[in-house]
Amino acid sequence: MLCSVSLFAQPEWMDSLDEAQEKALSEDKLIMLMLSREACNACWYMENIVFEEKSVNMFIQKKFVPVYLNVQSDDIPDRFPYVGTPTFYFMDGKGNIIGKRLSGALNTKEFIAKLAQVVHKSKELKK
Amino acid sequence: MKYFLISIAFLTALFSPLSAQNKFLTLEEAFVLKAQVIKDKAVVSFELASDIYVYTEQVNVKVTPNTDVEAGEFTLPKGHDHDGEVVYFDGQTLEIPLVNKSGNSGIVPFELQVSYQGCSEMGLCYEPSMQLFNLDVDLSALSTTATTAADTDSTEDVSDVKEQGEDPITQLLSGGNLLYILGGFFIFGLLLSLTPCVFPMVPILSSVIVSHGSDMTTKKAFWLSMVYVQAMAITYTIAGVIAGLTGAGVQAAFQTPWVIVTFSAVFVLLALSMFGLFELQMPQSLQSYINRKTEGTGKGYTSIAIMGLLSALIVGPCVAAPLAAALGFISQTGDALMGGMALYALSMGMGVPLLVVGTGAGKFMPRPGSWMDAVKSIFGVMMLAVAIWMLSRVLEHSVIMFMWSALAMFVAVSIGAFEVKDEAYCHPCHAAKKSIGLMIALYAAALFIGSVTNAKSMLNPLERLMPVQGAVQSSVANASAAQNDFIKIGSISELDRIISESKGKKIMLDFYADWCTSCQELEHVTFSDSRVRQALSDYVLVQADITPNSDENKALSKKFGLFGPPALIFYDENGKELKEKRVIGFVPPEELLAKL
Repeated sequence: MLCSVSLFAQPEWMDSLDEAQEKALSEDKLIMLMLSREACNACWYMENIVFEEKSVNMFIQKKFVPVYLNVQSDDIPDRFPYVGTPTFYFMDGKGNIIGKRLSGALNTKEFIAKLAQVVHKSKELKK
Repeated sequence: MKYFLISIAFLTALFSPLSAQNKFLTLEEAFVLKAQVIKDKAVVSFELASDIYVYTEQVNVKVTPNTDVEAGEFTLPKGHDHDGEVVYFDGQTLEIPLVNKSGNSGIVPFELQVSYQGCSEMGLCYEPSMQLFNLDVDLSALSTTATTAADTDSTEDVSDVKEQGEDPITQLLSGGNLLYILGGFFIFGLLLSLTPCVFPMVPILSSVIVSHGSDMTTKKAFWLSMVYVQAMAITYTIAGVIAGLTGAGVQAAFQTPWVIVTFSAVFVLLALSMFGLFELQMPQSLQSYINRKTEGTGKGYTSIAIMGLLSALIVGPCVAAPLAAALGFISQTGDALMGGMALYALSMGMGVPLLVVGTGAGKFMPRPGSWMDAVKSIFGVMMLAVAIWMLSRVLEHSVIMFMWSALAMFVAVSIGAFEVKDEAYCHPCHAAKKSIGLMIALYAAALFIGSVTNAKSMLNPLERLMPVQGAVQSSVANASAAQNDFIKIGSISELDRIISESKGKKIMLDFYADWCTSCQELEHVTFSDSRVRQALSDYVLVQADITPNSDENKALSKKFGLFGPPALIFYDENGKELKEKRVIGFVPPEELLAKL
């Protein structure tokens, strides 16, 4: 599904949480985990509308390592419970979850606001 | 189109002043399920919170394998279209028949599994879920053979005839304003009285009636004529009721194509008799027999009444065919009450000239003339129209449109659209007839074009010629319905076979269902575009029609992870799916062209 309509930028999704953690630690970034599935309208919206936005992608690139897991085909660790898809978890490089999970889709503006919230919170936690 | 709508939906829904955090209902709050056993059925009801919808195809109810009880067959209520997918927006109640498979008796426990999957319009799709219910059932209340639940069945009957009663005429007959129907039949009867065999006889008939009374006054003459007409009406009304009753009994037969074709053939024959090709009437011997009977010199209302009753049976050549047609028409509806009322109205119409003459106003009536033959022709055309209307239930739209165009042209020519009359003829009348005729001829020509360009609408037959965004007039040339070019399949095995047979050619697989409106859009806007057709010409076109929703259909959808049509799947020459080309939902021609 991700490969379908990539005319513009897309986050550089990784598919392994362990590798993402390594990258996040070395680049001093946070991790954004997206739980998604096939044939999910809300997921499609995020992937093809929100994640195509330059502003969103620039933000993610600067601050996050994005990880994409498909709940139908990948193993989802128990510490990431989800009610439905899409669900987002934000963590630091060590894997500690920051803030509350995000259930469901958000429009571009709100999603960036959420990202900003997470970044702000991570700075607080560091202190 | 689908995803455009989804984005709009989300943009509006998510633009809330709340903090950038979604508050979604838990699964249990969003989907409230209940199940109980009522006699021989497991009744499952679910309620959906607002903004929640459930995919129809994902709703399933099963009985965990049990020695005594199993679930019978049931059909899901029809869902609604939601951007190409079929969903329930509101809660539903499902009745699942329970079957006693062991033959035991007593009360036994069983487990009911109800599975479903749904989403919130606010932007979250819940994971597929299942709820278990522990229920008890009294085996003696169950039957031992599985019966299908008729309650939740949709109202679509399985029939060979397409477009079940959706055309305006059937609608008019079945639920339409009774007044219009009766009015129509009244006029029909009036026209019948203006035919060559009936109209000239009216004055004679009138004097015969009047001679049966004594001390004639205008009032008495009127009443005598009225009795005659009423008596006639009785006969015809009975005939109408009989036609309706017989029709009601064979309603199912009227749905089979062959019966319909035969019926329209009969109507065509009747029409031909109106045009003078042959005569249809009651046997002469019977006619003279009845005539003799009515010649009695009995006085008074009774003899008039008998005259009226019997004369209705002497259907002469002009009246026989239209009357048969009217009765045939009535029997199609199967409505005895309406049939009787309609024929009564018809008789009243027929009786109008008689009443007029009977009250001495005969001098206001038009004189018999060649115009009466025109009346016969009118009936002929009407009967042909009815024949075409009946055939519209079984034949392709373009064929029907062609027939209408032919009939319209026939009418135009008969009116004299193309005739050259000599100057002695009444010029204004000639001009009027010719103009009307030519206009009809133009419409007939438009219909003709419509029929060869596969236009769908009778009121807009030239729609295929209208410039569509960027499309060139070659749409007239490339006219055949896109549907015909697709190989229809319904299962994975059929698909695999086609893929293996089509090595060396690209394939496009189209997922379609009758209830999917976006699929129709795709067909009529995108697939009919000449550039798209051109680009698709070297593709093997396959259409998976999942309307029946059989297990094979479901497996086919599941194979591609589809929830619903429309969807376009592309394969390269080696039979490998080109996943990145996949199209979900409606796309306009330009987008599809970019993919091909």
